[in-house]
Amino acid sequence: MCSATDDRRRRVRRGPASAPGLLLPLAALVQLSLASPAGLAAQTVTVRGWLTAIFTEQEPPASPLRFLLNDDRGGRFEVLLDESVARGIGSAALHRGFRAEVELEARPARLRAFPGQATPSHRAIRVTRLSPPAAVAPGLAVTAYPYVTILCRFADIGSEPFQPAQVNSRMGGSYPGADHFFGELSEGQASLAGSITLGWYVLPKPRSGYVSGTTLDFGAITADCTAAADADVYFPQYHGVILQFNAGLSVRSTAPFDTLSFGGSSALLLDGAARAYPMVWMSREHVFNYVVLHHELGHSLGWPHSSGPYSQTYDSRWDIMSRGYIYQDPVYGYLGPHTVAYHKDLTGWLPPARVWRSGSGGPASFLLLRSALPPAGPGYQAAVLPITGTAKFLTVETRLIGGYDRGLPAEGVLIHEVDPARWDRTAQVVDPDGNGDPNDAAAVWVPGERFVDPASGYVIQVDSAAPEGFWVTMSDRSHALAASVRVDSALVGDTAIKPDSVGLMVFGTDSLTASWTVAHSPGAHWVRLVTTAGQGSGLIRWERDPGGLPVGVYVDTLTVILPGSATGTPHLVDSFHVLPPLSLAVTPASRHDSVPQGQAAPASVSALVTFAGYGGDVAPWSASHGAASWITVVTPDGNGGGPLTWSRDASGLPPGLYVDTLRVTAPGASGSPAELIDSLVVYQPVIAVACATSVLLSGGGCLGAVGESYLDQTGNQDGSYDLGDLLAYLDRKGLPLPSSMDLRGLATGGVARRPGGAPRAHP
Amino acid sequence: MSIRARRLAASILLAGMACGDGGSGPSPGGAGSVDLVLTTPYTDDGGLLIAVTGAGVTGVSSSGYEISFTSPTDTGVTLLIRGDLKAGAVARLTVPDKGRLGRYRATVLQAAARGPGYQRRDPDGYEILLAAP
Repeated sequence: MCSATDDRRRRVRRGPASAPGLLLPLAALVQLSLASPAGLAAQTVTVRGWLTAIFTEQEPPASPLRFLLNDDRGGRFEVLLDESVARGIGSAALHRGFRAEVELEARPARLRAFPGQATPSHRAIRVTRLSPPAAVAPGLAVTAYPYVTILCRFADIGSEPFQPAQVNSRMGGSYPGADHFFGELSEGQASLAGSITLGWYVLPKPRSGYVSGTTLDFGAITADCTAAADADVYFPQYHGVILQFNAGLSVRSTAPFDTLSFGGSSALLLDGAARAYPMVWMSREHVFNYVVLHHELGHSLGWPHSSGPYSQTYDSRWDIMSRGYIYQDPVYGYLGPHTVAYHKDLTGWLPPARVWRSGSGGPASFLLLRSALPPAGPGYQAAVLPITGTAKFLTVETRLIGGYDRGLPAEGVLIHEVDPARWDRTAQVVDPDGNGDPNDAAAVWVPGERFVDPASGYVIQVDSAAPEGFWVTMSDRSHALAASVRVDSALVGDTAIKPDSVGLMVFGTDSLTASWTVAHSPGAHWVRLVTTAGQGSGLIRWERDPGGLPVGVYVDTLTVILPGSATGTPHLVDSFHVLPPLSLAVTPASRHDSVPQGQAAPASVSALVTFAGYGGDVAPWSASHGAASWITVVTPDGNGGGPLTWSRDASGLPPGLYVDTLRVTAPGASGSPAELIDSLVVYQPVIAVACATSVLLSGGGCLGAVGESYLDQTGNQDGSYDLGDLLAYLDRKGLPLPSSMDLRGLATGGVARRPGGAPRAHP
Repeated sequence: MSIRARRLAASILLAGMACGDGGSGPSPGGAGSVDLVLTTPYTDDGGLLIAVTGAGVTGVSSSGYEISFTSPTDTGVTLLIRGDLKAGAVARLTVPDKGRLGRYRATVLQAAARGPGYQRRDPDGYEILLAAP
């Protein structure tokens, strides 16, 4: 099964302290008294060993990483790392493993542990890195990445559902084997040739000894599976290790609660060489799922997930390290795309000469080659744009349909924001529309489109398409003014200088030293530039001199010239209003209205307060009126021009003419106080008795709402027109009920007779 | 007599009139006048709005009060009576057959007091009967 390696195998006898699976209780290491849990909680212990990470499928905000610590005495622990502690380590080390000195809480953590779990969990207080990140492979050379796949079956599950040769075929160099996939991604620099598969080996414990629902004891299952095969494998000759099981591992803790596989790294103290090995843990369900296999192998190479800039890990269809499932092959099922440029660069697969890195200051135009199957000709395969003052940077790459990128959602230029401080989803798609979909048109740039990064000022423009990619222009030098319009004013005859300023932001790697100049319209003699040139971001100052300027509006344009800026020459339009002295007017000068007697609801009416001259936009004013009780001023004061509103309430006013004066006062303004005459006529509506009677007799008639309201107000005042109101009106006026002639044509047609009159038959 | 008892008596009276419709027994018969007789709990009524349902009214009059009315139709006639109203006959109708008074029904729609208040009153407190003069 492993004959090819027999002659190179060097067995190293291990002492008891380094035997795999031998766990030294942490409490024993510190020899604590366990009488008091509280006392134990306060205790810590420092352990040296290999700290490695495994990528899980936890969605944010849960930690996507689980950490194993294999100490130098052969003990192993699951370590709980707070994000703040992890952030200080750096993502490269976290993702590939490193030697560390770790201060742990002595009390075991309950999180993630399940009854019977062999690997104890402890929370890390402090992590000190003792080595650089474990090397993945040297770049720029054809590098062998042979993996040994070990088939392990649980003690209580006897099935051996596939044979080593079958399993090994998925690692092969034929489409879509792992060697073929990573060969395309690395442009032939990575070879998985030499990978072997061995098995089956029986684990010492049943499945329940390693797996409980959503929890997997990585430490125990890794130690037991590799130990079972140790006699047949000389581990140091393999780049990485794949553990393939005959049943499912743990399940996702959220819907759809599917069975999971994992990738990452783990320290193995085998065959005399202790190091962090790239590792994959495969559930039975995924044995021939190439998306899962390629994704987990990507994790084993140190690649984190990428994603959109949202809360989901698996939302980007641009990366095998995110959604993955983008193309369905009729024979092999779903296949994933390439990984993003950031991950390829992490692994050293992008030649430095083919990566455009900003820093030149001025704009650069070049051909950005396709990521999948790039031609050998001139051009760049990616652009990297560091964001000044941060560890972040942008990556820019071209994605075209082809090779394993045949299922991409679109073709175009893709931009990622990379923040190495993030412990996962380090690279996130730049998606300006913020709609939650990093795969739509807003997230991919095509010819004619330009992206200006609001944080860094980088300008990335797609100029045109070519068969092998896109011509792009990008610049890390740009500048912008904080405002594009300024307006000021002065009183005619005034000689006081009016100073002003506007902020200028300069972006780019040389933003502190980039030189600029300011110009303005040569005919604008009323402007004096205080700042005519400068370096980097700052303030541009100028002065306006109203001296000798007649009343009028004066306009100037200030322009900031920064050679090589991708944003051209931003400018500011400066308007200067030289104004006459302040004056006040109220229009119209009078208002008049008439209402029927008894009008209850107040009627709103308004006029316009206007100012002309200097200071009119903020001039304060107040309004008052005479003795009229029927007027209420709704807007008793204001600043600048605006409506003067008042209301009239004619209820209770007998018929007549009412007049009052509204007065608007503005200190210092000519024309103040401005007056407005308001007059109101309260009239008695014409009541046709026949109509008023007809309303009661037949429900129709010609009285109208004004008449009904008037009759009620002057009648019994019970809120609606009725018989009592008609009686009151007739009595007040000394009128009889309407005659027959009055009622004709009003849908009544009746006859009225004075008391005692002879009845008359209706025709 | 309470309002309820008066309404009962009115119903009996109208029912008796209805029994006479067949022409058996004594009946005034033929065209003639019938009075609208008011029962009111007040002594200061100033006006009434009265609906009379039933077809065939050919004349409306009042000997003591002012009166206006709609043109009689197949469904009836509406009257407005004004004056210092008192219980008793307030208006007179001319009908084609005095023996078939069961066809008619009189209801007070609105009532109002005399001045100075002219308050509207609840019409349920009034009763109007049709009776031979």
